[in-house]
Amino acid sequence: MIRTATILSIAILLAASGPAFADNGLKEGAPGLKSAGSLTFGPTGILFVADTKGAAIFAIDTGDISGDASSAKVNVDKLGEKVAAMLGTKADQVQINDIAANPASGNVYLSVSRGRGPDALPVILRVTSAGKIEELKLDKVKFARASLPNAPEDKVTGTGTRQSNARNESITDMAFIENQVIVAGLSNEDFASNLRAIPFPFKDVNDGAGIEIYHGAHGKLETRSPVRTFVPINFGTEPQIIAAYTCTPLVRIPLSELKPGAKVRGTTIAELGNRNRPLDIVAYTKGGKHYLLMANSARGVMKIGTDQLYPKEGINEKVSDKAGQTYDTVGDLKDVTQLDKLNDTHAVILIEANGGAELKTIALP
Amino acid sequence: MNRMQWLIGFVALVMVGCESKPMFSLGYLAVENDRAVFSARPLTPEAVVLLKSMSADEPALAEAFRVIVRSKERSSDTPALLGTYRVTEAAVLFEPRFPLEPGATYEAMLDQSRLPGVEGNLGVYRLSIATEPAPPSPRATVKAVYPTSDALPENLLRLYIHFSAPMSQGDSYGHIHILNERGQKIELPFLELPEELWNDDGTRLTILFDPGRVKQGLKPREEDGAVLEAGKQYKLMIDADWRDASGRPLKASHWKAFKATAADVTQPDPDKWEVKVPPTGLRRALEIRFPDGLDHGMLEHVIKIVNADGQRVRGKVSIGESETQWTFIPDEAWRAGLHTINVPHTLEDCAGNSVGRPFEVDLNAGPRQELRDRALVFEVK
Repeated sequence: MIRTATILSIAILLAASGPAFADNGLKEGAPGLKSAGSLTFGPTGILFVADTKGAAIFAIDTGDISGDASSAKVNVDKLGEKVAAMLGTKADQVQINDIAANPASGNVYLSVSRGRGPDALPVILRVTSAGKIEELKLDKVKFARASLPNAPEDKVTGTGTRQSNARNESITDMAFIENQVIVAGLSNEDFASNLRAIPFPFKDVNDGAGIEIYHGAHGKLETRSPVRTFVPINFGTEPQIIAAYTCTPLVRIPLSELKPGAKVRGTTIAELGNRNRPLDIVAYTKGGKHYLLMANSARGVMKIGTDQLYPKEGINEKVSDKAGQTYDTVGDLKDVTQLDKLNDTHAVILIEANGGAELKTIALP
Repeated sequence: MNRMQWLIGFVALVMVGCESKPMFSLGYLAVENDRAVFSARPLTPEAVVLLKSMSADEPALAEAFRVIVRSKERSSDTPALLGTYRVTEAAVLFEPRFPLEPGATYEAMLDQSRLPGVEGNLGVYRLSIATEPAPPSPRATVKAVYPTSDALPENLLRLYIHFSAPMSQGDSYGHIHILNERGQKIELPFLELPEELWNDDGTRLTILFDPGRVKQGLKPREEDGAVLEAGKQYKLMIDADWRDASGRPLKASHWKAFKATAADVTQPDPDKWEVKVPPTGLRRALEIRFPDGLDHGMLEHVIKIVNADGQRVRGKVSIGESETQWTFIPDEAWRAGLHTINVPHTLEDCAGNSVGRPFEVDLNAGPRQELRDRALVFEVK
């Protein structure tokens, strides 16, 4: 009886999850990543990997759905040396590009480049609560691929007789919300400001137009504004994107505005100060209140409140050092370059300093 | 990637702590230029029986037979190389997941006592192999910096640095500086991105000036000022210690002196371009001259020539005169008739003003400009 009931409830869950295929459209094979950058987790155990060189987003079924994320604690010191040893190379030949915690298991995934040149090899590693580092083998996994529509038309480069095209689009951040992978990118030529919302399960190829993001400064000037890092939030009202532009303001954009071809102007909710670059951001709830936790290049890790996310007009007057949404700097966190929420009470952070790297679990402040 | 020569410079086989006759011998087999398979082969009848009982999936096997890369930083909890185990009738084989690196020492270790099914202290075998260092290649140089002009607008948004060989990526911003007239480094002039803006072959890096200090009315610019100020002299410095993809520093540092001029807020306007039309029947150059320099990277590929039949005319582009001149030599002789020069609205100048819109749009100047690709028509006679 119990068994029947379980099967029934699974069937109801599947039906409730809408038009998604039971297998999310994933097929078994080798994804053939050319690079591995931004990471984010989607539906149970599915890892999204941004492959800038291959101009694609991959959905990979990690099969990693056992374990208890609520009690997970992942801590690894000398991470760079350890990863280099596993990859058979020197620590200075290893780059950790992003981290993502798997909410279905509590394991933390790393996207890594082995090598520093254009032929660097992509590797996805998994770190367990026991501190064990293992490779996510990609020779036979269930995966799907969404092409990014910026693939250059003429791929011939160099000294050929054809016009050469060296345009690439780097991916600065990626997140999953409401059956969409949101991807923020930045071109190495035109000052593009595209966000893309790619429905998941993926269709064959995503030809959808990007969303142009603008910043309006003080109601007078408007500029294209690529997004450096962002986090989707859903605090009980309409889902939103909280994004930090490359030109530093923190803005809010309703998720519903991210339609192909749209031109969206974010509402500035804070200017977080000069000589600083936002690096990564997560959202969480503590004591019934909602917060953002943002890693920065110069101003440490900020705990940002959310009570002023809906200012009437955004910030449109000149401001002193801080403006809009208030924040506290989390004093004991230094050199944090990446962070992700591990569970309701903890985050995992990547600390990079003096050429070394460390993975650490912290209580959400 | 340069294939390194698979050369073992040094091999040492050492057995330590062995109280009885060794059961296995350690060895390696070079299978490709930079790949090897390490093996543990049975030496005794007992070892042959043991081998038959082994499975490649057994975790104990990975504990007993490990290959490590030697390094100064190594400590007791440093993991072994990733790789695949196979158990054949003749040996246990370990194939590292990645190619061996030039100039490195690898050590295979077989702790016989930890093999599944073994009891007692049987000692540890070690086999060291050292790979030859990579042969020296010509040192990389900075080939060009664009824009080439020595007078650049104070709202300069983008630079391209071209190298003679693929470069090392990931810490580029630390090697590029803007110096003011007193030779002091300007603090944080560029937008630093973890995923740097390289072309596919790693020979061209795009540098964006911090948009927060280029755009007006933003805190970084209000507090720290613009990076460049009109009328002042600057130097772009590229350090010699920047390493190429094979780890060797640049042949020399590189600098470019320039003067900042007034902000460029003018959109490129194809109606103001001069077009020099080639004659029919020859492979002569079509030449376009722009009043001001345009983006070098985009000029290489975004302007397209289409003939009267609507077909793309293929050819070779060259860019000169401080990016104010674009010449196009077709692969085949020009045919008589009307041709079109297609210009996308995205084509920018070095300050981010595009054919479609200025970098900064005045919100009080009326409705948003419609983005429109442009076409210039010329006739080949």
